[in-house]
Amino acid sequence: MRILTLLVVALLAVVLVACSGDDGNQAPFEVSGPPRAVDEDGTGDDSATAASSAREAPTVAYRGARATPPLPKPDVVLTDTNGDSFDFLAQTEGYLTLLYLGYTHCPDICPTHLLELSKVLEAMDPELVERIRVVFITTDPERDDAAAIRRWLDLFDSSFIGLTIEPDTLSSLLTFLGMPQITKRDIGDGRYTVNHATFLIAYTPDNLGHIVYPFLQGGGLREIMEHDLPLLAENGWQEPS
Amino acid sequence: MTSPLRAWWRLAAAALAVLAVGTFVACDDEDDGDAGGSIEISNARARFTTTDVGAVYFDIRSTGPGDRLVSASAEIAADTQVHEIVSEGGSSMMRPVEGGIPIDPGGHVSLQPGGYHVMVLGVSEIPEPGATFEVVLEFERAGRMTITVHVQEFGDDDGDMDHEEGMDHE
Repeated sequence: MRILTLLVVALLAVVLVACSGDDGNQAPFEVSGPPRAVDEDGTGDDSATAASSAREAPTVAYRGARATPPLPKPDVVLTDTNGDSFDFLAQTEGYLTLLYLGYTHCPDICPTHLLELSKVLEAMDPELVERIRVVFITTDPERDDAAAIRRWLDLFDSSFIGLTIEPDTLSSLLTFLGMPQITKRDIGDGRYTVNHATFLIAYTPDNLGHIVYPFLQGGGLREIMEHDLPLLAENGWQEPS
Repeated sequence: MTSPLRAWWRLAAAALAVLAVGTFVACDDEDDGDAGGSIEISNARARFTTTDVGAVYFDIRSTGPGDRLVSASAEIAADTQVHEIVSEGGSSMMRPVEGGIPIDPGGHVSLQPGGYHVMVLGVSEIPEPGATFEVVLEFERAGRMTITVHVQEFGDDDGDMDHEEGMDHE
């Protein structure tokens, strides 16, 4: 039995490396909820088991990474891409607020992350999407002015809110969010890339970020968000049982 | 409910099925790269957003000995770098690949969104979707190869995230 188990686990590991993103059945980082739920997902036929367990007892399990303790929502006033002030706490009140920090000259990670998010929202029930606000804050205040951010966000979704920020404010915000300070890597000719934390924070209407969605190499992020975001938008935060 | 043993067998069967599909896909590549000895390149594409920085992705297959993609260059760009993504905790970071991207003998590596990519930066004009440009790849063994890269409509790479093959270390 144990040998069989190991064999299956090893086999799955190979499959996930070789065909990651195939079925959305990875549990690539620590997830909240009972491990059993993750195993069930791994079988690839979770619909039946999920339905039957839902009948037995209403259980909640999220596939995103659990932030413990939950992250408090920042009380900060920034400027949106129309040049209007944006009171983060007040203007996201009551919404499932998805916060991402990145920069428009980012060649791969940021566009991939936000593209996955926009695809999830596109396919979601519009009534639930109305309960969601996506907010982007630049980690590159030097190059990302309002126009640059707007142009870039419109590639994904024109409803995404873009905020400019002063470098000092960015620094304190990162500290508050528990994210490392940004570092720049000089790549010559005055050009640079920006290293920044790469996770999306999901603040539920209780004004706390219980779940985050880190960037995943090799895909799977979309399936994870597809699973969680409708739950969080519809019910707010529910302690996993 | 099925017994635990039965469940594991089903899991094993599912895993084998997926493995079989993965192998099939990997063998179904249409090679449209030019001959570089034992290296074949396919599915070469580029993604640009609204800045002068873009990413180039493609699949590399070795039909012979192992090799390394050590560098890339493109005339349309001021600079070109072969990048990898390194993840730690909740953060991921891209950085130049030290020593190049290894390709195992007979192996297959995909450069794809969220993983290995060639960053092109400082393009004088953002190429339009549908346009093509050339990228010169330098392999340790196979030497220099020129590939033609197709600029994608933004968002079109969508499908590639879903059936990517990742790195094949075998």
